[in-house]
Amino acid sequence: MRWLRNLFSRDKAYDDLAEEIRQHLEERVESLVAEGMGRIDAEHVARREFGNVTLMEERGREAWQWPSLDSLWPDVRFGLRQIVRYRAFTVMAVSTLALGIGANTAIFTLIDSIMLRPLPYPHQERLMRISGNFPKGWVRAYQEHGQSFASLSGYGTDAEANVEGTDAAERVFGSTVSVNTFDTLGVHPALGSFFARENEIAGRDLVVVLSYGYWQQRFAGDLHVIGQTVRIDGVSRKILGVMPQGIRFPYADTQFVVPISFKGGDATDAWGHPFDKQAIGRLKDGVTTAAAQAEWRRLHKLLMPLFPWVMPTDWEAETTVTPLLDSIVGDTGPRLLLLLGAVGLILLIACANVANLALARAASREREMAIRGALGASGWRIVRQLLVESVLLGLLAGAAGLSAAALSLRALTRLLPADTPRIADVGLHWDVFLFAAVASVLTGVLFGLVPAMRMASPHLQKSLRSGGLSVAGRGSQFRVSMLLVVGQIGLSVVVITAAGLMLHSLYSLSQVNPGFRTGRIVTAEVSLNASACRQPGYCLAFFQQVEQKARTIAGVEDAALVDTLPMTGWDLSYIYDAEGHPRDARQVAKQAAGRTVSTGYFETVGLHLLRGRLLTDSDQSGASRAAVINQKMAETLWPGQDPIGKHLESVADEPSPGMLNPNVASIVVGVVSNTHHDSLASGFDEEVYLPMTRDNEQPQMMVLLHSHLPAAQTADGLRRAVAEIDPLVPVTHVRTLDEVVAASNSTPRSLAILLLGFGALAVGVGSVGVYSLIAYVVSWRTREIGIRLALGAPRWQIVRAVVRQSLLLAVAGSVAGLAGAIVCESLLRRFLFEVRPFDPLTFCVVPLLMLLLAVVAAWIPARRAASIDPMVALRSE
Amino acid sequence: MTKSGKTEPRDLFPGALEMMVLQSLRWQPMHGYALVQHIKQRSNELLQVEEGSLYPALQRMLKDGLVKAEWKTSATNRRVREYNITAAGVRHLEREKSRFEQMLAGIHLVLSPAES
Repeated sequence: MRWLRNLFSRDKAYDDLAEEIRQHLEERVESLVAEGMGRIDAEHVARREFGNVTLMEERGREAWQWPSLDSLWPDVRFGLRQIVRYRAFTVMAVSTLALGIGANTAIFTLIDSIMLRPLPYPHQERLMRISGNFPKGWVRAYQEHGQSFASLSGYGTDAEANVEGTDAAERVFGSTVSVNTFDTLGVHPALGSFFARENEIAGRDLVVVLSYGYWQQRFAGDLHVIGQTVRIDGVSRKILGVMPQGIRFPYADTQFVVPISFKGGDATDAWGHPFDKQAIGRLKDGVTTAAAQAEWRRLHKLLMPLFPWVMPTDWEAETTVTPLLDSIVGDTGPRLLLLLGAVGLILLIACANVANLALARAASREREMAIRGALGASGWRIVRQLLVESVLLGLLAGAAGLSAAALSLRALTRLLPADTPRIADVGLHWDVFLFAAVASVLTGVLFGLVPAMRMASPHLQKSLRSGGLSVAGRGSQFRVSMLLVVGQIGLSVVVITAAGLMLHSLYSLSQVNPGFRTGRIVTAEVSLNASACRQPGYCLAFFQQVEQKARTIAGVEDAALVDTLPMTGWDLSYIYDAEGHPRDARQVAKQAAGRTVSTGYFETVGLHLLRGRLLTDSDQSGASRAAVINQKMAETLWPGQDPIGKHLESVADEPSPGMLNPNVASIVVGVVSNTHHDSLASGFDEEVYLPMTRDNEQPQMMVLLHSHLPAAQTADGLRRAVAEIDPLVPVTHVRTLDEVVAASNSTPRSLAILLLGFGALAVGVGSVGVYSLIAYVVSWRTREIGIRLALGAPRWQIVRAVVRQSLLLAVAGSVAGLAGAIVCESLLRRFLFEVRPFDPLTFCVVPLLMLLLAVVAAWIPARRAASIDPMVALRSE
Repeated sequence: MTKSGKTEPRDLFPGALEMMVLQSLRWQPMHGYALVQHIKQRSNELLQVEEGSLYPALQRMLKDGLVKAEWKTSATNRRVREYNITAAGVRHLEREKSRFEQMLAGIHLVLSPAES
């Protein structure tokens, strides 16, 4: 802490020193006088002997200073004066850099909020997600036998439920969780309490914990909500507590959680329940992720004999233990890093641009630097002065960029796909400010270094001291400037190539035929309570009625029902064994996308019948056990054979693996055309269409309406129709099939839009760079051009020369950029769809664009050059 | 070697002034002017301490805690700032002296005629 004390005692030390020196001189004078010298002479001699008092005091003071920091302050003041003085330069530099820093700060904010910020749980780094799906009994088994986790919980998938209010039911996302989930997470309720151990027992499980958001939205933050009951899917549940604000578990959409409950033998029964539970756990201190994973797999193996069936041997190998944060971020990370790369390049372009502006300005400051040099300022001293100036500019730009990033953040998050993880948490945190500050300083150093070194170069100093006119810029100055411009063009090429590849990929994706008709089809979800189908046939009858009524809605030409829409990520797996493909007990069963459909489905979405027949109304009795499969499944299972009449059986119906029961199994009656059911980018999957029967009736169905009226009007018709049957049944998720397909592309689309925006930014900044360099070259060559014109050179030749110079820069930049673009393409590859290596379209269009740009940027300076009056030009120097 | 007005005085090597100042102060506390005089006399006028270097050096040593200073009234009734060596200064001096002697011995060996 001595430096701190020094800081405050410094002034006294300075005064002491001055006094001491005064006394010293006095003593010397007196001794000289004593030797017989005259007083005035003695004073002169003493002073001469002593040397430069001021200099010495200064050097004496230096001992007390952080030399760099203290002498920085005058530099800062001087720098600020320069910034005010060269206003035009300041505005140009700050706005260019602010674009770059702003874009970087904005993307960093996303990265920070999504990837870097810890989850809102204590010691969140010890929270792990265990991948895989488990039956609920399994979670119990692990809780009892596992050693790695201090606390382990299971949770179910997010599912919608009807929550009944006074007038109508609303659809709300809810999940099931182990009763100890909040202990595992380490959070405390905002209100009331969380689940107790006993809520795990069936019969005592009719409780619910609300999310903070749902509590606010539905109950307006009512403090008396605890103890009230809500009806969820027809079941009354007591409200126990409210989760703290900002806690979104298990999913971002979850509005309430209910306990996973067990009855009698459930707890130890690993089988007999769907494999629909996920697990998270809090690692014990000192246990590594790898150790936990090894233990989990070991336990898997031990538990396997408990199953009534022989399980696949390598089944446990898929289980991984991943930090919860990583598992939430998933593949969003690489996309964000890609964007950061793009904006990083933009910042480099901006730096190169401003460096060039500063070089051009250097000419007007030659004299200032020459004087400084002549007065003895060292090269380093001048470099430092100039760097202080550029860092100040960088900080100004950083402040502007940070504000711009803060303002644009909302628009930016809206550009991201809605399912981006943690998107609700995106916001400015202190590390964003730190990032902006560091980026600003680095930017200042980066763009300031080249001009500063040049100004301080001994060569420049010498030639200036020799008193010549403006010599800076002869040859070598333009070489550096041109290199910078070539670099800018090169980096722009990289950014737009990335944008171009992404766009091309998006275009290819949009050209993919989803396999089903999407035009003029409105979809909506109609949802009964989960328990509605307990009464056999009730759900089936209800939806048959809905379909019938839907057909009578004005403007509706056709109506159909399906349990899950394609391309929504909600496909239900049909896990099956097929005739002629007896399953080895050790193998995993085959899997297809399974859909339960009304008979009109195929026609409504335009699936073509390739073989056999479609489903008919008579199949809905269940007696025919009919199933329709798609072409891909027919070719995979029975290549070269007739699939009609073959048997398929869901493994859930099998007594033991591979034992197909022909009296229960479905019979293939038809083959229809393929559809993309996951996303346009993925290939065709196997699909099975089953009729709605009493055996597979479901409480929720999607209604598809083929209508020539506007979607909103059609949806209103559907709402009225459903309300006529049961006013408490909600109609939700109204969308057109076009929107469904478009939504499946939202990730590549947002990536393409962002990259395109950044590409435009890069081109904008880059062309300003080309323009300003060419303009500067022209103004510098005014005299030479004047001479040429005076000697009779035609004006078009001058224009050509200027444009040619610009074109050469663009060509050099494009060549450099294409090399970079090839590297960037290999990085981009994983985000691209059906774009060939070195996509010829993009790799031709982008350089052409750059050449065009070079001509445009050179045009105004070229015109100016051509309009130079030779006489005025010659007189100017 | 005698001091000549014509030959330029040699620069001291870095640290030499500090060593001499510390050694002088070890003998007795002194103010700046006295230090200059003292070193001049002790070296038989071979060494001329430049005031221009002395004061910055004293400030550095003050800051590093090798010496401390105090305003006093001298025998000639003059207000002087008297410097004192500190314990850290003594340690520093000893260390520097042994390093200097090693260096000197080394230089001697190099400069003396090779024994054949």
